[in-house]
Amino acid sequence: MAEFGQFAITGVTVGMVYALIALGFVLIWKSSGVANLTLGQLVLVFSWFTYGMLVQAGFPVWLGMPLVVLFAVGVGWLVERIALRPLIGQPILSLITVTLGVAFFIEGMVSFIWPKSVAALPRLFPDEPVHVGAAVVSQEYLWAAVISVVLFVLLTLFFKRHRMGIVMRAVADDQMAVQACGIPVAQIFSRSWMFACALAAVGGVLMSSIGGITFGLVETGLKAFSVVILGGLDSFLGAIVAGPIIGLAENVGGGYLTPLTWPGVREIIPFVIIVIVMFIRPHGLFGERRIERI
Amino acid sequence: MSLPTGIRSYSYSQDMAVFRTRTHWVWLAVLLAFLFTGPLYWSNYWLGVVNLIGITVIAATGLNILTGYCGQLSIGHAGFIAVGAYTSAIMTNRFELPFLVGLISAGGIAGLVGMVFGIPSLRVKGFYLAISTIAAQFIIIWVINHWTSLTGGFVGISVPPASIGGISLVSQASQFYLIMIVVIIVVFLTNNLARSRVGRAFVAIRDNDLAAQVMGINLFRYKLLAFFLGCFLAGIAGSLLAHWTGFMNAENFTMTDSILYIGMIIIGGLGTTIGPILGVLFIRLAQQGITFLSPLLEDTFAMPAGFTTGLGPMVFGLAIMLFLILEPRGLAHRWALIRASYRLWPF
Amino acid sequence: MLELSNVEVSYLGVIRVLHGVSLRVDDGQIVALLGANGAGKSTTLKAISGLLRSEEGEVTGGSIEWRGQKITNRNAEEVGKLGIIQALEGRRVFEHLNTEENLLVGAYQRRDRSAVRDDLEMVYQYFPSLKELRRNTAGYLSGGEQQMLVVGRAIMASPQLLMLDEPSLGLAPMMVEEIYGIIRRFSREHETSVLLVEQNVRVALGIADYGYVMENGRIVLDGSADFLKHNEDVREFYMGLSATGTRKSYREVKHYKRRKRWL
Repeated sequence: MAEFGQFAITGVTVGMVYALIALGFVLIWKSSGVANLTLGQLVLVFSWFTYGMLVQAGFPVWLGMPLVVLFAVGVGWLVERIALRPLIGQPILSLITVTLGVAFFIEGMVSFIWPKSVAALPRLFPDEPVHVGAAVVSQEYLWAAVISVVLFVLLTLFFKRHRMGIVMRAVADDQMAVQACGIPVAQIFSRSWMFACALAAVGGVLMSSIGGITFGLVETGLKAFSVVILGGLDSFLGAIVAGPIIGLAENVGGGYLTPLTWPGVREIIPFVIIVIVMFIRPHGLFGERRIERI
Repeated sequence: MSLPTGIRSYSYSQDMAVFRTRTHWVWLAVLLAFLFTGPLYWSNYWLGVVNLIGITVIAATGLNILTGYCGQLSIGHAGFIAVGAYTSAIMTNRFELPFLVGLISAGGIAGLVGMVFGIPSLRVKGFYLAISTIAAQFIIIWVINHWTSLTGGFVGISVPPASIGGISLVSQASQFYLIMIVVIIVVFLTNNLARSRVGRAFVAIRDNDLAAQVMGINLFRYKLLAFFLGCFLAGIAGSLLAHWTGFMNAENFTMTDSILYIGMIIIGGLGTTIGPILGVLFIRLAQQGITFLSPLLEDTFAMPAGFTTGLGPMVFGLAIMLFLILEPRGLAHRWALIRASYRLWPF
Repeated sequence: MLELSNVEVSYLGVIRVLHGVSLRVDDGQIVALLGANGAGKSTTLKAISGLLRSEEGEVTGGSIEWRGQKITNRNAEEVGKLGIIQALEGRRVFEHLNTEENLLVGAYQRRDRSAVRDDLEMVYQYFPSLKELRRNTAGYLSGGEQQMLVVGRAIMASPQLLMLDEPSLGLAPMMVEEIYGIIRRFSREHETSVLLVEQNVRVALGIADYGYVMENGRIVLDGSADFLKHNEDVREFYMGLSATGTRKSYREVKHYKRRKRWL
């Protein structure tokens, strides 16, 4: 039972971080209908940038972290401006593949600037593990979960209350009607990319403070895809519910299945879940079915 | 197909012919002669490059059927190539079956695996499908890495050289003839497929699948057929790759490669016969240029250590973005323009 | 004052849909733009508001002036900042937002929060039924309520010129009367110009000061609302009334082929 508790707590907390990154995806999807396949690479580059700020430049955390978020916002602005805006109105195939091109470019840039393949961030959170019942959790996990929940609440409030959030939701419903109100839609797209990148940065820092910076962070981004697929592409609630589910499945499933199958089974579980969801319920748990007309 | 002005067709077979004028035939003969005498004056290194280009053309043509004609985006193409490569390797290495059996079954099994992961395409499209093919990529590679008894796992598997009728094709030159013959067959068949009933059904599905269904096109059949054909060619390419390299592990088939394949057909031009060829030439030759240039640049300008590894992805990522934004119809469109201007010269 | 002179619009650079449209909306005036389907009324509105671009259309000739300033081919944001707000055809509310959020989207570009709050109250005064539905999801409102919401949303942008595209579409006659009454009241009380596109000629001329009739991308007739109301052709072809004012009977087949006089 203690074992189960351990797996479950690790799973849920890591899942919360996946959910955080997934929120960034949902944000862009909702406001502009673009599928952002760059997520994994963004997580990677922001983690490395954090390394650059905290270790290489030696900034303290209170200065380094805001710089990281600022950098992320800048990257979001740049990507939207350079790659996405010229393609507004193009078929979805182009919109997806252009983000792949961006992903490739970022990957090259990372190995260009940080040729090391692994690095560790300095400790951001206290060292002592926390006892939850019989399970022991290191504080990083708990902080990660807490930060994710706080950001989720803030985002939800932002979308419910703030006028910009409301307009972002409106853009998702009907771009042209928003334009008719004299609102610059392109600016809204740009903002949602900035937000999403900031989320990816926070998620990346949390992930790499837990597991170190490796190329495997790209897969964290991919796991965020399994979260959005399970939760439904256009649902924030879906992301925040599906995140822990994926984390749980990965850790509990991985924990118990490894002796029965091959080692490393947990890496593949999110992808298996993707395939299963595709077969059974393609629009996810909370996603809307899209009505299409010829 | 664009034609010189003033050429008339007097029968349907004339009208449908791929090579219609004497000039076409002369060019074809010149091209084939140049290609097949290549081993006489190309160095072994460049022959190897050409072989790799040939194999990649087969794979990219497969992806072009799936994505370019039928509109089903696949980000798992390297995974399907891996299926073919390992099928062929296991057939010839573990079961000691002849090469041709390995080649055909590589195509067949890769095609079947492709169909399984293509089933979601009946209910979902666009991003969903892209994700499910990414999942395919990861699941396939994971299975290859962990099913050690069959695939050799992380260590890899050695593959005997291809042999046909007792003749073992070991040298680059002999491999070259094998690969080029397969390339020519594949390009010729896909060119004709695209103009057939099936090809038109694919294009209809790409442009609007609901409208295609209303017109009586069986989506289930044609989408799965596209997945089968696309992945069949991926399997063939994988098999040739396996026998060409002689040894491999799953590192040869990463998601990065999958993205690169998409880049190739985008740069070349989606939904054209010539597109994948041009795209593959562009990317593979650019890779050669980068491996040649980057150590030079690194030495002369004292570039940081990651320059060589980072330059490739940066250039290709940039190329994909620029082509999508500036020339969405790819090199094939440029090629058509050049041909048209040649035809209309001196006007 | 809005003035269009000789405006030509093409889609995709080849399909010309407006062939030289000239019209004028004076400050505080309600102007109706009438015509059948495909006459180019909506295109005219989009040419003014700058929404043509997202449909690959372009003003290829003539000029559009707003208070002496050229706004030809400006984009929608710039035109919106000048106070020209269009309410699109077909009750395009944001389905997943509630009523109040829909209204707030209209006021997005305004910085003065207290004025926005006042305007929200004002819209609720004009449309009392919206106030009761302020927390309801807009997608589930009735057609009439949705149309009120669209008009209300446009009002929230505090427009100088309000452009309405077929506010009567698909609504019950009573609802149409109500909405039109409110539009007129709003225009009078705030001295806002209104450019109204409508197929329902009778109600449109009921509140308009001036009217233009469009056919095939041209203005074929214009005049004061009273003039148009009594014009024989308008009565016959757009209001379905024969010369004597009685409802037209299809038994009198000879009228069927009567030519319009402006042709």
